[in-house]
Amino acid sequence: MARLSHTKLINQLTKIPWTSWTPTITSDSGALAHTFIYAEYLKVGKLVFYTVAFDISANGSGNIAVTTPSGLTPITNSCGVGREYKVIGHSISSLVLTSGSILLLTYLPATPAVNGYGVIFNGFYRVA
Amino acid sequence: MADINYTRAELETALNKLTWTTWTPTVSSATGSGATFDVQLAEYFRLGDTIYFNLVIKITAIGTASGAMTVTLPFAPAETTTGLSIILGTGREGDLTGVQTMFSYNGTAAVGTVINADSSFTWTVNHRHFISGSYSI
Repeated sequence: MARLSHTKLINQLTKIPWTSWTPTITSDSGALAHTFIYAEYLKVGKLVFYTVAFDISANGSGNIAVTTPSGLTPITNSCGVGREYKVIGHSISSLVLTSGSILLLTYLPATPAVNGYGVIFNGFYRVA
Repeated sequence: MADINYTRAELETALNKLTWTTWTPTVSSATGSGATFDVQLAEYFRLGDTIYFNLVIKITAIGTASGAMTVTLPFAPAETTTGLSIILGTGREGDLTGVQTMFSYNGTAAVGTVINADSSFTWTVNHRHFISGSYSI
């Protein structure tokens, strides 16, 4: 009978890599501009982990919307968390929509779409 | 006994057999009574000894509810030390206010509590809470 030792299983799982993608980043309104830093995902079966970071270079307003990776559309809602890391340090909530957008607001809530802010966030969601 | 050596494709095929599972949580208030809820989503994904979960809960009546919102978990967390207020997840009131929430656990039974990021909680009809998190069992 073939078996998979714990070490072998860990080694097997490292064959599944983090993958980069380039999301479209907009805000509810205004002319949001940004400097992209990174966006990566890891798919484990029907569970997708994501982590994203970017800096804002022109104001927008309302939610920031970040598109999910192509072909990995969420099929249920989920939430993640992040932080504005350059100016005020406020916590950020991320809300994943089945439309394929991840919406960002600060904890207050207030818009994180402010020139000079840096946004970093992560979470997970379900795919088909 | 020989060890198994999967290709990446074989491993991904095997992992795709892991499914999300729904559960029926009991939702209530920390104090008071009479609150009612529309649980629109309660699902979890088990990966080894880690549970990932998503919840969407809409408040439909508040009665005399006050304090935090409580939600029963699909499995009891491994951490059973009381009084720690372990953070299991995060969330947002997604329809009316956008306020960020926290989902915590105090080591008692398999029950988590939802509170705002500033430690308050507002009981309002039609507030819809989106909550996600993970914990070990």
